[in-house]
Amino acid sequence: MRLRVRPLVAPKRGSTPEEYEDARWPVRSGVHRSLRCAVADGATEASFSGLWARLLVEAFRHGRLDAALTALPALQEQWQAAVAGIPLPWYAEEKARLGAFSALLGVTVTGGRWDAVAVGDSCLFHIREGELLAAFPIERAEDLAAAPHLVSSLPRHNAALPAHLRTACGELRDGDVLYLATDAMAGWLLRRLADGACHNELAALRPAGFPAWLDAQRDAGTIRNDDTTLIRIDAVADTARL
Amino acid sequence: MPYTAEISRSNPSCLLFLIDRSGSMEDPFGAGDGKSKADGVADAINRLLQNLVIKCAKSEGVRDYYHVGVIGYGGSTVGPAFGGELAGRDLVPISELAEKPERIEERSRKMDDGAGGLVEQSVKFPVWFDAVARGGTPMCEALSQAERLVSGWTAQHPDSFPPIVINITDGESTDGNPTGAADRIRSLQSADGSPLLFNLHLSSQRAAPVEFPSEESGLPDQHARLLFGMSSPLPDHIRDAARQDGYSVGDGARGFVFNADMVSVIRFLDIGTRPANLR
Repeated sequence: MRLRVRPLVAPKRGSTPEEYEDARWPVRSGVHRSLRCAVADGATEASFSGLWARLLVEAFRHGRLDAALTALPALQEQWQAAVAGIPLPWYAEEKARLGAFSALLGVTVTGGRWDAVAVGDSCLFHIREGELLAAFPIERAEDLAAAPHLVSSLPRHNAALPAHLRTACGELRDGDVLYLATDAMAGWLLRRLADGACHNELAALRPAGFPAWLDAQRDAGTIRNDDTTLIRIDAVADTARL
Repeated sequence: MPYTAEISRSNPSCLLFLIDRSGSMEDPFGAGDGKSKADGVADAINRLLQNLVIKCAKSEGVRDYYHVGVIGYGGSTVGPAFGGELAGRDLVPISELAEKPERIEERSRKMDDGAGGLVEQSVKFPVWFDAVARGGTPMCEALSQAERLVSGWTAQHPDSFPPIVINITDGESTDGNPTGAADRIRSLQSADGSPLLFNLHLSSQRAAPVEFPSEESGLPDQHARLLFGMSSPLPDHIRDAARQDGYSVGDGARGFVFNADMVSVIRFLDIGTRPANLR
């Protein structure tokens, strides 16, 4: 089995690409035999959240962040060292003191199975022959909370983290599709996947056309205006042409 | 549905504070340790502005999600209360406010260290307003000025989240019953609903603090009942955010607090993902 990966990204409307605070791995489309992929969604209401999201994704990608997030203290030190070196006005200093926050979804795909870990509202979807097999860690659009529990760059905000850490696994077959999505896109998928009508629309999405597709959805009020990241993974048989 | 407009830099909202600077504010504050109500007002407005600035702050600067005004009222003076470079301005972008406090004090605060202990940290506390207390309490005139400002704002920003007016007072109006002026603010219309009027009541009474009540029956005096009656019901998303934060608020909860903090309201404003574990 090979894994054809296609990441799709767009910043919140009204924000610049530099202000995009989601993070992802892989960054670009490609084909893999096995993969550690991830999306993270830095919280708007905190500062240096994009940096924190990138640190989480990088650590997961390299296998330094396991399913129990035991490497978190080292990442927190890395975040604090990066922020401490920046001269800041009073408000940015006070904001940084509150810490950064991010949702994290990490998925390891290898040997015909996937293993996922999640904190917060970034979601994994597993599709087989047009049917939704699994939505993780949130299964209903109405359960996407306005204020999710997220991974913080400060230990004092993570006391309840173990209770919010979710894991799941599944078997992956040739022809299956996985989606990793940050919360706005996850909400759209949760509302649309159940009716099975959106698979062709999703399959046709390409990185260059994604921002325009997203803008049309925003104009129609079917998706919340937010930084948006969607990674599509197609499990392709070894015998199939790519 | 009202109160669902996105608050963004291209579609900002407006927060207008009214601060009572009348002579009665020299009286002791019921919930304070020897402080006057005027000290309580100064502390409340400085903390509200500080929290609002920090809410809008990102690593690159402060995003103008809000335009902010402060109207002071006391004696014969009713009008914009900013000092220094902002003197005479009625509504200023929040980024400008962030850059221009009168001074920045260093204060110490005990913080949870994440390991079950407390650690003392030095924090920066900007001061825009000092305590002032003189003359009567022209609350009707202050609310009328607020109505004009808010009306002008909604005409210029018809699709914005409606303005929020927060009145900080001991409730002892001396230029008449302010209910009519409050009603006029709450009956203005914009595409996303009417402006919201919240009241923060600082009293000399040593009664227990009250936060976001649904009815006036438990309130300690006629001033509290008057301000409760003038206050808007909390929109659904603010009420839900308050509940998620652990506040016990009923369905008819109003934007009114008695001898308590209203900084929580700043936390409940929706400008993007708000982590549940950010306190």
